[in-house]
Amino acid sequence: MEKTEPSAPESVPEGASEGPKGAVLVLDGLQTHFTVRSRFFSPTLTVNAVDDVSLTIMKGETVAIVGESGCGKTTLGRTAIRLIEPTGGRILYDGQDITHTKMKDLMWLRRKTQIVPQDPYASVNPGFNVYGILEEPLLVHHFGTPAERAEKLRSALESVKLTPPDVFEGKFPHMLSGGQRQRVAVARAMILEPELIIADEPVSMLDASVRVSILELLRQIQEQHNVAFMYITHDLATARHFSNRIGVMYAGKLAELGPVRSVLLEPLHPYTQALMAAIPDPDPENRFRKIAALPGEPPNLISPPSGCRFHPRCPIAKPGVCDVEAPPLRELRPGHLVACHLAS
Amino acid sequence: MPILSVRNLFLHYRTRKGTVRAVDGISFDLQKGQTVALVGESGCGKTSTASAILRMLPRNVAKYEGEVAFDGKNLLDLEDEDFRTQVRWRAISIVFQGAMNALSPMIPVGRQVAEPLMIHLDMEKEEAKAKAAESIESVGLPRYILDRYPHELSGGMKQRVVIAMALVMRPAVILLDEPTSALDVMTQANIMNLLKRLKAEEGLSYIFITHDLGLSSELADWVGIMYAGQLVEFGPAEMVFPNPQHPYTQKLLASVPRLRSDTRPDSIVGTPPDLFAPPKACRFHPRCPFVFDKCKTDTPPFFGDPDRAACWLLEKGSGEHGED
Repeated sequence: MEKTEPSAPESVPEGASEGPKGAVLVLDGLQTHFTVRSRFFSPTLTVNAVDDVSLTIMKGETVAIVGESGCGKTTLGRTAIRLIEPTGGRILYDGQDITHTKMKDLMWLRRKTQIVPQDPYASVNPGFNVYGILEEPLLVHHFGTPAERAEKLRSALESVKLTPPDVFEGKFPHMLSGGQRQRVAVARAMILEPELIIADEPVSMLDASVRVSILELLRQIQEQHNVAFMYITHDLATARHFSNRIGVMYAGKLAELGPVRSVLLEPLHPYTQALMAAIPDPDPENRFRKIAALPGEPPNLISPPSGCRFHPRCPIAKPGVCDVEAPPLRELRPGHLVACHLAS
Repeated sequence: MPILSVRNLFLHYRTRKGTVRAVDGISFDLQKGQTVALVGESGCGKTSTASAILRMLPRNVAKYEGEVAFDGKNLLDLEDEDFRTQVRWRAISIVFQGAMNALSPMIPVGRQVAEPLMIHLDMEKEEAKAKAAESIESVGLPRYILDRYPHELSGGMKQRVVIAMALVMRPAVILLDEPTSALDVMTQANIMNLLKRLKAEEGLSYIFITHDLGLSSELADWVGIMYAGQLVEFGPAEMVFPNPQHPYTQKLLASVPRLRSDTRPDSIVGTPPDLFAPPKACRFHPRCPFVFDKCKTDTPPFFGDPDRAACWLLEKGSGEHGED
């Protein structure tokens, strides 16, 4: 999927272009730290939610970001399109450095990037009907005449298979099932023809049989419109079938990044290996095994462990090495990077 | 002889929109020391089946009948008070969905674990606390947890406390209602290991309710697939997972994204029926790829040797399917 040539964006401001050719998004040492206070007069603490994450998403590519809750994957997705302000590193969108661009100069970015949120019950306005929900982004971005908007809306509903469109246009969210609401959320993300969609756990609230159909829909949209996806999920199995590359996050850092098959068939990081062991496929033999699960819990991001953040839970950690120095991401196979001192 | 035997169990609710047929004639057996997994999508009646077995009923029950045989007697014949003192928690206990909400935030967890002992067995406080400590240790938590409040514990620890609570009276059967659905995969794996250990060491029998077929295979000796308030397939795990007989089971298994295989997951067309007016005859017929006339007019019984699935395709003479 990394083969498409970059198309010239009309509304992107002029400026020097950086980053690899064909990249829609480049994150370079991205860092998002939050300051929190447990009580009003207590000293402020820093939560290292995202720390030194470098990642490139090519046009039309799907990169899955997987990890347990609290690993910083949602923060990464939101920081990548500046819905949360980064505290360090750089963000390049289509070669433009947008790390410090003023918000009012980012309206073009708001059109080219969209989000499909997790909870279809909370992410659509219950007071709007489907027409109102889908028309809003068009109005915000001053799109066309009412007739053109109506036409756009019909084709968006058709592309998410809510047909016939005139039946669904008038419906309110409470009249729709969870899967249908998520289709509305996908249509809303698609309607401005974005280049990059951050899909943050788009199917985790849905039933098994509906889940696959929404992911298939996202794939079709990607093939038709050459959209890039950052697919944020805790589910390695759907990541395997619906993405090109996969990044595994642990405690705010990327532990492993590479092509899906390389990462999942031969995981290099002990965390990825443990994560895979913890996820069962339906198999009657499963009940006779003990899962090689990691003890303990992911670390507190206010004071993460020294050295490699995974070392307190790591089955192969080497004292004097892993607890001292943070491992850099090393490319051990073509395009397959791992942050582990001991992987080879 | 099965430790728990469910026969023609019905549980219907009365609502303003009409009658919800949440559990509509379910029968299965649970053998001692084994696990029956009940698997289905949301709204198929899995949790209502647990409610019906443990008689945790809301006020708007329209129909509650059938037979739940435990220890030679039908639990549905018991008076509410006898059920409460003789069965609930003492013989059959439950681990509720969502550990976060199952514990009272204002009471130290030790007291919550000890409470059933004081109420059901009239134990003294100190003795109950000692028993609770034993139970807490058996789920792999340190003793000092007893004095903690729920908000001081992580999700995985709270789930272990809830399991300790279910174990404390030494029941023979534990209902596990989505015991890990709110937890992370690694925490889930640790809880599964714990449940496996307890099953092996204490000879517990589980009814494991889940929507996740992969997870169900971590415990299931027997698998029951539920659809629209009914069981459509029931059989040993060794047979159901590799060779599902009912078209719904086949579709459901095909919809699971596999981590260890390139087989693309396949979605099921249509949506599950609402339980106010489920389809006539076979409830899966509007979504079934193999549907024929009989499916729309007659309700299929269980076919197979031994009985496996409620599908007319399995009737003798109609030929084999399921290999495609």
